[in-house]
Amino acid sequence: MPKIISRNFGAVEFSPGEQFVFPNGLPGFPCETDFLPVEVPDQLPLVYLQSLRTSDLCFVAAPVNCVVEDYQLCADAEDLTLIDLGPDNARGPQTLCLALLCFAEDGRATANLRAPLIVNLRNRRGVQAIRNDDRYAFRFPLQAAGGGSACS
Amino acid sequence: MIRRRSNESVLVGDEIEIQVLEIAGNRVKLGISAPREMLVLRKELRQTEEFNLDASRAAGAPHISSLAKMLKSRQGL
Repeated sequence: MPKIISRNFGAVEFSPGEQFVFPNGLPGFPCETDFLPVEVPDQLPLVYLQSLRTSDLCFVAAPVNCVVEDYQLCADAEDLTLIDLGPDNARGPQTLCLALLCFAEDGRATANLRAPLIVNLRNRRGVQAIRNDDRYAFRFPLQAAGGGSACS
Repeated sequence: MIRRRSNESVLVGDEIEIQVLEIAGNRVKLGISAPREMLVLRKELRQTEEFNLDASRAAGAPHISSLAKMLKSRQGL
């Protein structure tokens, strides 16, 4: 069984094909195409995305619908085609839509709702799809340091 | 500010031309001619790159457990 040494989780075994594959990488990380989703039971619904190429690279993400209620997915046909989705089947249980999270030094967290990660769970291919509208922010505030929420 | 119609251009310096190719609703298609070594990209792509670079340092951040709890309660788990 393949194994990755993660800075955050130590040695992590995974099944072949379990990783998400982003054919174009991610903006800023064009060579990083393969990420293993890792869930920590007491940190659900957060999802860690551990690079299989770089043990030091690990993103934290959350389902967009946990960040804002009823998130409206909107993606270019070109992005959807890359992961074998079409406009008619992009929304549904086979599609995972995650927002990457960022933490400032004071603990304030933001979520990128403008460019969510869309993963087709049928083939586990993903894309970071930058929306063409400005309905959602690049840095949507999630939580003030100390626990206050700006989401409600 | 410069007003342009479809098929009209603006020049930036001697080597860059930006032409309005098509206007449809609230979207404009631009054609950009620039030297090969000059990077031309959508601003949103640069903003996403910057966010991703910041986000790549997120794992292990303090407050992550309290954030998870807050999101979990919102999800109704």
